[in-house]
Amino acid sequence: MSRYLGRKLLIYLLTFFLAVTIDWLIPRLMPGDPINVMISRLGPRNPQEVQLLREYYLKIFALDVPMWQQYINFWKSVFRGDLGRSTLFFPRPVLDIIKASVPYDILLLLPAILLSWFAGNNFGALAARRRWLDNTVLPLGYILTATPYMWLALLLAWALGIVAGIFPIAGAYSFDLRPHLSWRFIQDLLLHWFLPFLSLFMVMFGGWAIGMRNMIIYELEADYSRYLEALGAPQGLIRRYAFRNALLPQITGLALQLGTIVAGAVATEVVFAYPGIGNLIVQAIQNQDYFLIQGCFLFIILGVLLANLLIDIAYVIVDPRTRLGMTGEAA
Amino acid sequence: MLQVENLTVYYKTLRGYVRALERATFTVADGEIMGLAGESGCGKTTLGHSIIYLRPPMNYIEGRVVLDGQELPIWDMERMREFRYRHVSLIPQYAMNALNPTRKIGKMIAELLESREMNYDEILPELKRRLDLVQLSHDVLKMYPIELSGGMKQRTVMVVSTLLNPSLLIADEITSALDVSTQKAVCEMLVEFRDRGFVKSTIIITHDISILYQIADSILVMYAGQLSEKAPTETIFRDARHPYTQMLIGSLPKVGVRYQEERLRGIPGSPPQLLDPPPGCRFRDRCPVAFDRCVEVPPFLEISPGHFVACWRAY
Amino acid sequence: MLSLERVTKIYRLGAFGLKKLVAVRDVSFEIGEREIVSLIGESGSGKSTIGKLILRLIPLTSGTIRFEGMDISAMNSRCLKDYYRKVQGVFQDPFASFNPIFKADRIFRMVHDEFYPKMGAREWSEKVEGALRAVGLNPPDVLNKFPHQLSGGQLQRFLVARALLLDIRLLVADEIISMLDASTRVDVLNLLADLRARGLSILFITHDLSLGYYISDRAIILYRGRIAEMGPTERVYNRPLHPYTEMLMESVPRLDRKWEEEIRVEREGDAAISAVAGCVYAGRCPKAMDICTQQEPELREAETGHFVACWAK
Repeated sequence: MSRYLGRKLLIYLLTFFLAVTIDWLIPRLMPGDPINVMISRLGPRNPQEVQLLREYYLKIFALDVPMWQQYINFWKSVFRGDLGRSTLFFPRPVLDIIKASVPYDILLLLPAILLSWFAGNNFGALAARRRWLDNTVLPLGYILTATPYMWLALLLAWALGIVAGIFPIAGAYSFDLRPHLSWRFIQDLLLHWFLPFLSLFMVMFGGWAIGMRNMIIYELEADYSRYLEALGAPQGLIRRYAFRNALLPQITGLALQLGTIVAGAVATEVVFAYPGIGNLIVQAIQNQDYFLIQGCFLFIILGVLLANLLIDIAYVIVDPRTRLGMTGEAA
Repeated sequence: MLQVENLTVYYKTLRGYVRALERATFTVADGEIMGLAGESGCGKTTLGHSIIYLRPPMNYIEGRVVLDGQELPIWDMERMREFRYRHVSLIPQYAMNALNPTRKIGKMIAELLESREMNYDEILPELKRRLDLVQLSHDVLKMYPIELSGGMKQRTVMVVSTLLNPSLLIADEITSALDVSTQKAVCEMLVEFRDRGFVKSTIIITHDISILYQIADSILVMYAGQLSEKAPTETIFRDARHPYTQMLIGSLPKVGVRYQEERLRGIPGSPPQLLDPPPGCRFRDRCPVAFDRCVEVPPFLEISPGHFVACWRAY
Repeated sequence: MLSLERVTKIYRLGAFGLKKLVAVRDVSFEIGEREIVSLIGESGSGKSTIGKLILRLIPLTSGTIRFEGMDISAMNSRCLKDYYRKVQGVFQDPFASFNPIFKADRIFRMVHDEFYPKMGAREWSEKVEGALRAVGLNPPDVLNKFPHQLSGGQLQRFLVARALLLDIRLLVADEIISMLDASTRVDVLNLLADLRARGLSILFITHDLSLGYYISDRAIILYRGRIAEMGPTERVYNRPLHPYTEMLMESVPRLDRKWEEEIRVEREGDAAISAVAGCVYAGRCPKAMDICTQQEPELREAETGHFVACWAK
């Protein structure tokens, strides 16, 4: 057991190292550079000023040293927990900016993922045993899961926001409010939250439902189900087994999804101007903000790896096949 | 005692009915181990399965299956449920995968029994005795299927399937995936189960006729969806009357026969399509002694006590 | 003609190839001219691995395989092509050997393009028809058809015919009839016997003891990657020396005598443990002595041509 986890951990560390390296490399491979963007935003008048500003900025962002030095510095600061300062929101530290966005993502994505997982799996299991449901509602699931997030988001914003006028369609709360703890603010927050949530929920729901339905049907055709049936076991028992076994891959899917919470939901957040990480990434890329891009991606890497690690551990507990497979004594 | 009368089961396909089993009529006495032999596609599996587990694409056409004087509603999956396991049971071909991989074996048995309104704890002592009999440790009840070797899984399934002392046990190709050493043990367990009264009648479906010579009391040979011959084992091997049986047995390589001394011969040709089979005896095209009469279907007649054959040359 | 000297194959498994599986260890034997040798073993005995090693489908870990004196591992691509003219294999699943979307006789054209690119169309088709007749097929019945239109037995004959198109000297037949129906399998067996009469040598790999007895001149009994016993077929079958062979002969369902009534569940040895030292069969052997668990027995000639690896002999 410890050997298995030790080996897994080694693989995770290796992956982390590679991913972070790529994370560092990617913004630097983009055409243009952040300093120019910053300088042009200030609108300097003459070449000397430009030169001065450039030297000043290069110094504070430590971009004046050779590449390899930058790379090593980057690793050093990662271990210190220092992600640098944003060029876009200069001089705010990247960590602060991310910290301010993450709560919105959790608020939006955690309920969307959990609720859609729960509802989708139950619905899929139901569809697997009721033919009429399978024939009528399931095609809807296919349509939902095939819908691009952005498209559904636009549709909802148009129908329920603009035409019906029930829900606001931009921001996490009204522009005339400041975040604080009051009924009025919470109400406002929920009202703004609902449409982005719904659009995510619906697409995800379709995916879970179809996945579950297909897995259950596969499990119901498996040899162990046929054996139980041949021994006269009632449908209830056979379905219960099938449901449990079909749930295993769905748990993996859930954990993977949870790992991407910190990545936000780019398309949805852009459509609804929702201030999560997704939105932040788009802005950072548009403004070539190296440090903000790096910071956001670092969070995503950590989130995904952590989720995967948790799945690996959970599987050892849930599925006896993994538990034995890892000692290599499976017959 | 099992009586099968006129049992006809077809497979429904897009191109029409595949006549996999036609007018099967035979009996298996209490305590009899009957081997059901034939080549792939002859309908032996269809026959075996239709007695316990007839489901689409299998289609019940006609016939009766009577077990211990009571007719089995084989055409009704739901009503059959009550008879399965208690009265008719199965050791499947896929015994290696027959156990739910995510349930401990003991727990699975308990849940299965409870779902049939039986008490696991009451049956547990008998279960343990039977595990002893097949030389499995009681610990298997606390294990997951993956912790067992192939042979152990096979024996576990054999114990589970026969736990309720069914009147009829159907063993479907249970030796085909096994090594010779395990094969022998598994076969002898089947005999032991019968001797101890765990099961009354047994049907062993197999393509390996030499296994049947070792353990079966009688053998039923099928060809292309029809019964060819049924007789006590010795009679099938020494005095078969159907040309197919004779040729099939003649084609078997056996220890003690070398080609330099005795060159065996196969049966030329191949079996007919069952989607639209020719009328009459289906072996006609490959039969060296076929004659005019063979365009009529030969009836399955008893030519001497316990010896049934469907061939116009044999009556 | 073909000789194996201390041939060993170790598979590496697991994430970084850390786990080793010894599939074949220290196997030495020869196949002579016009000889049918059967390689008999249960699942996991390494019999198919040996076949693949001879065909160079997988590389050796150690040891040498020589064909007509030449080391086959050292062959360059030209030598190898020549080798494949003389040594060919046929495998268990005939349907898997054909690409279902092409007609079955494409395998002949591939031989033509690869080995006889200069031969004219008429001469070639005569050669193909000759080979088909040699394996007992009627060319018009089987040419120009898709694999699914032919039976398993016909496809296996096709593959043998393909080998005959070359200057074949040795055929490696790996379980070639285990998927065929009883009524047709013996014909394929007889075909092998006829090929031997025409001067071919055959390595007949099987798990079925009765087939090995019917067809082969010599028999090699494998257990867990080692040769347990080897010798003239009749002697190995009728007077086995190794306890494992004895057990096999008692277990095989025969048609001339019934099993002795007694349930004996064979203990299933643990592959990982038995790999350490001593005889691999010691854990299951009723005659095991102290030495059997400490030192591995060498294959020794017990009587002329009859070898056994057992301390008790």
